[in-house]
Order: sequence, then structure tokens, then C-alpha cells
Amino acid sequence: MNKGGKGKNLPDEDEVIRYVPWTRLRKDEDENVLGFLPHAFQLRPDEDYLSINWLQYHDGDRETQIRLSVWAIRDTFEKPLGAKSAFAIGNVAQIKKTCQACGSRVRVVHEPEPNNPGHSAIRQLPRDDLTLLEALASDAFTERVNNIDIHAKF
Amino acid sequence: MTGIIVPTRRNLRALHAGIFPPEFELAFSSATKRLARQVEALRHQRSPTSRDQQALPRKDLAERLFDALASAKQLTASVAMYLDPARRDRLLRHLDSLHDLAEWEEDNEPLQQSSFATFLKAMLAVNPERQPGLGLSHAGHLIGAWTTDRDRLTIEFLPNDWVKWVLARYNKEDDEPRRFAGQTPVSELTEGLTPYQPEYWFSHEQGRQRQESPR
Repeated sequence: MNKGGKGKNLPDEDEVIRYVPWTRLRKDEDENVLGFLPHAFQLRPDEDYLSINWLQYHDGDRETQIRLSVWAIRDTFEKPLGAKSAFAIGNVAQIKKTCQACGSRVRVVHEPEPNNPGHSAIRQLPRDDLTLLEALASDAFTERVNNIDIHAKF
Repeated sequence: MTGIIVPTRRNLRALHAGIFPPEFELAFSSATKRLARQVEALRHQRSPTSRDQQALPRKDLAERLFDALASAKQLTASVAMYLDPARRDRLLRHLDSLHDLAEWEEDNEPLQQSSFATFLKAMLAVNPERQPGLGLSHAGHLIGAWTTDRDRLTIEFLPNDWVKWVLARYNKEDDEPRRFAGQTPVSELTEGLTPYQPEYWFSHEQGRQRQESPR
């Protein structure tokens, strides 16, 4: 497979996926999951960019692309991801549009890693703009896939 | 005898600090005064393990999660008489759930005691009928989320009695969200949310009406 390339912009029509732990899922008072908290997209102090995976890096139908991306993300963690965690999926153009509406021009680029070749990044994301993070959580990353719904690699 | 008490900057500051100026002594019940002092006392409490954490090597993850939960439960117990038992039990269950080792993401901080103290003060001050869904930031700040249909209020409870909040409400005319954000001392949270109808988020009835109304 020879797609993208380090630092290249991802196509606007493509999608990206991000791991969201249980602590940053939006829940109601009975712990029913409703979506994502703004903090699911917040940079850590030592991060320069927000880590994501490029769905269309993988060939196959969308279901296959999601499954292969989830497997790749799982492989980057030392311990198994929690059964209650989830993944957020967003369209590249919508992510850029949402950030621009909040005054930030971000880049969504391919940043392949040896053990995760579909790894990508949202660069120039402001560190602590809660309004922008809220917009990403509600308007850009609009689809949720539960970790438990993707079976393990055989 | 009845009279009017004129709020001044000095006596409002004193009230926020849990101190009742003489002119306010008759205006508040003893229960209210006791509650304010008890909540204020949370500000200065230290975790029984906090000194150990400074002096000893970093504990393993399971111990740190256990310590954070124990501290939170101790704080909750100190104001338990003001919390409805069902709500208190739900809160403790949710804290357990947030600190589930099987779900824990490495490099995150467990709940910070100072953030939880801010949360308790906010809950006692606002007394919401609808309880929030809870989350945690990377830094261990508790996050409260209220959601009505697509509208969302999110409050991050910061250390030292500050709160940061953001809300999104969808406009019926153009179906576009309006977003507002703020950062205030916890004592001014209700005041900060007043323009955005706090009851819309905190009352079961308001939430139901919104969900049932045609869009």
C-alpha cells in the first residue's frame, strides 16, 4: 500500500477516527453514552498535534476500513482498550470547517508511524479553546463506534 | 422586625468565604450558615495521602486510583447530610466507574481532590434536579455534562474553586448552534449561567418540554 505520505494533507472527502476513553465520553445521569465530551479532543501538555487515524488509508468497504483502523489503534496501546471506550469518526473537510468557524485554521495530515501506517494528525489545533473543542465534539466527530462492537484480530 | 439588607462588595466577599457579617446574622438560618462554613472548609482540606505522594516514590496506578477515590469519598462523606442518599450513592457509583482500572487510559491523572471540592460546592450551590453525566480531563479535573436533545452544557471543575463552562444551544429558526463559554469562581456559576436559563439544563421538567416540542 502506498497512500498519502508524511506531512501530506488528507483528502477533504476522507474520514478520520480517534480513540476516546470512557472518561471522555459524554453520558447522561444514568451513564448512557450520548457522544463525546469536548475534552476528548483536547491536546495533552506534551502533544503538538491531535492523534487520529486515516480511515481510507485502508482498502475495502467502510466497515473494513473502520475495523482495520481500530485494530491498528489497539496495537499501539500496551494494554487492551476498555470495553466501554469508543472511537469518534469525523470527515476531514468538516473538521477543518468547524475549526475555521471558531477562528482556527488546522491541517489534517498523514503522519505514518512504523507500527501504525494510517496514523495522522490534526495540526495547529489550539490547546485550550473549549468552544472549539465543543464544536469538534458535536459538529465534526459525529459518528461513534463502540470498542466492544469491533471484534478482536484472529 | 423586618428590614432590608443592602449587599455590599465587602459583605458579599465575606459570604462567598463562608463568613457571615453581623448585618447578615438574622437573615440566614443556622442550617444555611453551617452549610456555607462546611463547604468552605473543603477548600483547605488535604488528602491524607497527599503528603505521602510528595515524599514517596510514585505509586502504581491501582494505588493512585484507589487513593483518589478514597479522598473523593471522604470529601463526599463530609457533606453527606446535604446530599440526597440516592444522589450520593449514584455519585459514588459514577466515581467508581470513572476510575475503573480496566477502562483507564495510561498517562491520565485520577480525580484531583481540589477539583472534586469545587464540584461539590457547585452541586450544593446549584442543587440541580438533573444530575450531570461525569467525565475526567487528562489533568484529573471532573467534568459535568448536561444534555437536552442536541443542546449541551459542559462544566469543567477546576482546582481552587473555579469553573470553566461551555454551552451549545441549537436555534429553532436556522438549526445552527449558538455557543457560549465562561470561566468564573464557583460562587458565581449560577450568576454566570443566568442569561442561558439554568433551569433548562438542571430541571427535569424543562428538559422534557424541550425534547417533546416540535423542532
